[in-house]
Amino acid sequence: MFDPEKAIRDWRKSLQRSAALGESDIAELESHLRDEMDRRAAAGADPESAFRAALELSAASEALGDEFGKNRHRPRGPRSALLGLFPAYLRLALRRTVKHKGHSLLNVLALTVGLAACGLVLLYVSFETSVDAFYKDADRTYRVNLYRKTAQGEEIMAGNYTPLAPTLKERFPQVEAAAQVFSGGFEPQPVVYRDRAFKETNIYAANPDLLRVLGIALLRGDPGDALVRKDTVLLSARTARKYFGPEDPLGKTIRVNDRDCEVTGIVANPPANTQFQHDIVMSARTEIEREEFLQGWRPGIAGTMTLVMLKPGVDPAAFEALIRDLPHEYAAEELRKLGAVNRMVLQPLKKMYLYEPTAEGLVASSRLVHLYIFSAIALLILVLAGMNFVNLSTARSIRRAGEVGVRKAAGATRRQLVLQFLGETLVTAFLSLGLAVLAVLIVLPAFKGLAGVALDGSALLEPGTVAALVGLTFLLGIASGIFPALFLASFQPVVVLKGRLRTGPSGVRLRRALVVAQFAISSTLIIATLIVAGQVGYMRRQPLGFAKEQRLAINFRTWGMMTENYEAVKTELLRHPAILAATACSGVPGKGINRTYYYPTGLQAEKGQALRSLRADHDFFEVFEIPVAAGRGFRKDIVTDTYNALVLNEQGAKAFGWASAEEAVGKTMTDRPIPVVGIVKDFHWWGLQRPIEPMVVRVAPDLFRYIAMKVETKDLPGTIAHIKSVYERLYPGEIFEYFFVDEAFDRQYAAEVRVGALFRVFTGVALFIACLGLFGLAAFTAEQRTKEIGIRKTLGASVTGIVSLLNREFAKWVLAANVIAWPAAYFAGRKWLANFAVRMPMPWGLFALATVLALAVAHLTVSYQSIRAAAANPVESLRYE
Amino acid sequence: MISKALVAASTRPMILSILVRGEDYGYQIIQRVKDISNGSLEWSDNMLYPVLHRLENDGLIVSRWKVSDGGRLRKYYRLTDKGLRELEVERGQWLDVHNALARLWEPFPARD
Repeated sequence: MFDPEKAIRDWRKSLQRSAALGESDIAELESHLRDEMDRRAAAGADPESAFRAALELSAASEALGDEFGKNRHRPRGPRSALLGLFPAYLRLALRRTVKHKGHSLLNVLALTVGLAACGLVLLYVSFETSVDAFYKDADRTYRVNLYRKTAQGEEIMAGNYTPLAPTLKERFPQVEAAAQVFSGGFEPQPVVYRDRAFKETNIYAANPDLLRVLGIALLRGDPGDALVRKDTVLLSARTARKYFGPEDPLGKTIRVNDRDCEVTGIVANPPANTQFQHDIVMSARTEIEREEFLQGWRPGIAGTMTLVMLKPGVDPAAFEALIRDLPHEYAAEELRKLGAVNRMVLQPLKKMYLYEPTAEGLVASSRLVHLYIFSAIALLILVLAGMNFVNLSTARSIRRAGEVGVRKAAGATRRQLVLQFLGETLVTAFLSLGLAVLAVLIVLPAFKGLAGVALDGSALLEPGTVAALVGLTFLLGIASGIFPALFLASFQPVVVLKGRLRTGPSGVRLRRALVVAQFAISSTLIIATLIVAGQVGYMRRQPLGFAKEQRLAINFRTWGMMTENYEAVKTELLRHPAILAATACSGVPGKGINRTYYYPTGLQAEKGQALRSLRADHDFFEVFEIPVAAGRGFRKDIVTDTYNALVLNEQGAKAFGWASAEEAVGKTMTDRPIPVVGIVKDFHWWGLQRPIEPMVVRVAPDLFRYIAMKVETKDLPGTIAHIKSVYERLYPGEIFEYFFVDEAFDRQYAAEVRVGALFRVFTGVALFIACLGLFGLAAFTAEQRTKEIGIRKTLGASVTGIVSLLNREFAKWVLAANVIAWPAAYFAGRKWLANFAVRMPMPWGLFALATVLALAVAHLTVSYQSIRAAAANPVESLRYE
Repeated sequence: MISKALVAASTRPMILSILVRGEDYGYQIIQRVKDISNGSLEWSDNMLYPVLHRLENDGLIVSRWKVSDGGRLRKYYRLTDKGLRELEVERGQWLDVHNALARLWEPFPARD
């Protein structure tokens, strides 16, 4: 029995094999075939002959394909052959993706941007989590921190007693290696070999066990002699090349700061992801045998980092218990006098970069917090892109309803349709992935500068990362495609074709919800960005309690260079009319300052504590315009003011329990005793992230390292030249260096500025994606309302009237989104601002600004479509059926 | 049998002229052409549809799907403004050629 429907289906299948025929073309041809069959049937033919005759009139499927193919500007031949390898529905997916260029472009763009943002964050996170975690034996390596508890409170220091490391190795068999490390100080130091002189920052001093503990490879040199003798140094390969070129460095002498050291070995270059940039490592003995304060068990000076590698199988907790009370063994007397309890605490090497030790245990450092924040943002952006996809696909689904109806009428099963649509979304998703990888590689250099870390694009190729990205893309494709796929596949063909399915109520509600969610996220990010920028601006504007503009400082290589003659140096400098005042000191605000232990005479146990300790001459407070609160500043004519007088800041007075500044004047400190001659008003030494700490100032010229000057701004180059010539005359052979105090101070905000910049980038991305979604949705909505618009126009509505009508709809949703965004941003903002000692009041103005911004952007996006729709010819619109 | 070249050249103006009278679908267009040419023009589907699609690509006509009362799906085409202008141009050209030929053929030169 001849079955015409089956025959037609088989005929369809043969047409589908041709790559040139689209679904629509096939439907048209089928319609034509049926018309011809009807005509013949009406003329009396039986179904079979009607079919065959109709078929003959229609050319063979291959020839047909050729004819149709001429209309498509696609090269056939090898491509079709390649396509033939893919299953039919994937080919269809590819073809359809290319056909719906507008739709595809929008989706690909949104997904690409989302995936690229995720890729960048992935690289950043993987780098940061790898820091110091890659060392072969990192699992059994720890830093020994020093916990101190006094009447004033608890704290944990990363620096420890100098003799700790050798003591641990000697006494405890559980220890495989123990390293002493200390760095060269706060400032870059000059390193000189022959005519090559540079300032280096990566200078350390360490004992031989450092190489064991960090697994540093000794490329050249005798392992038995590395870091053993006094005045020896190891150089990294790149440092050796920098100073020695092709020469052999071994055995030669290089000058590090003021130590002449023999090069006894070359080590491998440190990788980017380690905190220990071991370019220049002097032997610890060089420093210890020179500096008295590094010898013995002294509780006041804690500056030596101790890294210990335990033997395999040793329980760190048990070991920690063993060494816990070592301070009381070796420094019992001192600790008793101070009324302090000191303990040893272990911190795993792997947790040194991202965590900070506190009395309560390890706490996430701001680095880790930033990682969390940016991971969250990347996830949000990905979600945005996914939502976009769902949104656009569903919106377009109705446009394509005609096509679906045709396919279903032709007998495609629901399963086939679902698979086909999923195939399309997967194709789009993987296309986006490819473009995203490209985008990441292109943008990486700029991002590296922004994030401040040395990222490496090849990390993208690591199997873990590849798997994560591919898996993510796959999930995204499926998640984004499943809803429209099922939605579309469930259309009833006749209903669809009669255009009844214009705006299914649930469909519209979902799309609205998605747009609201997207804008809520975007608005939250905008507010967050504005808060970060606002806080930085606020901090920069705050009065600091001292004058930093027009203050120029020169720094000396080390202490002790000015002990006898600092006044003479100042006099020479002041000869220049543009230099108005000068002071010699151990530090300037924004630079490093250490702490020294003080106590009111007789109250060591009760009130002893470490204060920030500034050494400065009699002119310091004048040069920086710091007012005196009580008593007086230092005076040159009073002999005892040098070395034997102290000035505290207001916080310092409070710290020792004196009720007022006046009360503090005249009191004495330590057992010398040294009188407090004055109290100055509090001023910020650090950036406003940190509170003002108690400070003590003393005229101690043996520790002066800077000269700070108040200069006039005209002819700065001339002034600097003068200073340089004075310096080089008085200190021949030294490298001249200067900086501006306000610039150095501002650099303390570098981290926040960077976070702000990153936030701006990601917020821009999120907003861009949200707008893409809105754009597509606006296009769809405008189209759906074409008839309505046509009627309004013929009834006399103006173009502007219609545009505002359409825009108002969307404004409603954007406002709703902001209602959600405000509380979210408020809580997040408050939490972040809590990190700052000085924070701006919650800026409601910025919230409003963000909303206005979001509305403006949304309006712009929607207007394009609204204007296009409103300007269309009403006659055309009304004919649209 | 009309030459292929002539059939090909006349397809566009014919389709545009048929569609100016209203919307129509492929099969019907073929029937109309057959009627109006008294059978001398019998277009096949593999000739018509590619032309229709080309015209659509060029923006001269637009298409939409409609369902007949009998539940049959058909793709209907109609003229756009651009198509209307194109028809005017084509018509002008054809008439120029036609008038030139008509003047040459009237009177028809007798064979000697």
